[in-house]
Amino acid sequence: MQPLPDELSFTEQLLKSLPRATPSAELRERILVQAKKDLEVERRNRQTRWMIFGSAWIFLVCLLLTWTQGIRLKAAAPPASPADFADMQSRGRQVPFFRGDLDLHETVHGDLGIPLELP
Amino acid sequence: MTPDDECSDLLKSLRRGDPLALAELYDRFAGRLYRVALRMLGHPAAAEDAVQEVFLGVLKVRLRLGNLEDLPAYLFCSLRRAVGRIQANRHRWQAVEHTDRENPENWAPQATPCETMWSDSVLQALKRLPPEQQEVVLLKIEGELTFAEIATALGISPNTAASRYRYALQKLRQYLCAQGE
Repeated sequence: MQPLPDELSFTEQLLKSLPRATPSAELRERILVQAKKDLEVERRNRQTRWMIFGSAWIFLVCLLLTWTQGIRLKAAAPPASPADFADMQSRGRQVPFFRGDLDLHETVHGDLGIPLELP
Repeated sequence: MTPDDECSDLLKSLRRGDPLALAELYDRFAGRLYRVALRMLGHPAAAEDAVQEVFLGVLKVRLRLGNLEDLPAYLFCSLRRAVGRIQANRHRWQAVEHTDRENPENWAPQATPCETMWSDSVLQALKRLPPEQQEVVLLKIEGELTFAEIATALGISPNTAASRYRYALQKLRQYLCAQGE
């Protein structure tokens, strides 16, 4: 940069000699108080964000566990065949015979109307 | 420790959210920022609002500042934006509020009591400069920035900043000479 000629240096000095204003003493206090408030709000927001993030993770883990356990159960129990179904039906018919409070006559001629099938 | 190292340490503390770092930043730059804002806005309360906006803005974006190379230039660039916003709001208020329409001096620059007749004519001459030259003069004289810092703050080359400053001084001299005659 070239140095300023004398006449311009004089103008520069004039500008530099202008009275210098200073900010009020309250401004510093006001800014620092507001800054503390902003930092506190920021800290709370960060905490809330982490809580939401953590809850979302827990929910996802539960969902994953439910899903994987469902798959595991399906894999452990083979699907029912038509023979299993017929077997289940015949067992269902035999259930009343295991009730102790029914006598044979009632069972055969009672309201249930289930025919007696002796082995 | 160089001023750059000090600024870098200050930024590190600020990034951690240390209020003392903000206090130190304020002590170092507030006076210069306030003087520039006051000359641009002409009203102490508006200038204080602009300075407050700058410091709280720095605190808000502190994590995104990264390795800021030129902290003073960044602060003055933020000040320019804050001043622009306040001026825009002021125009909006003036358009809406009846009282301001009646009293346009409400927002007119207020002279401090210690300003002399001579400084008043210098200020008048300063106001007659084109805005881009006026800005460079204010950043140089009141902001105490180097031409490189002014260039960074305004997004121009240092040579352009220096030549604007020189033209501004020449014009000021002409105005003052014309007033003296």
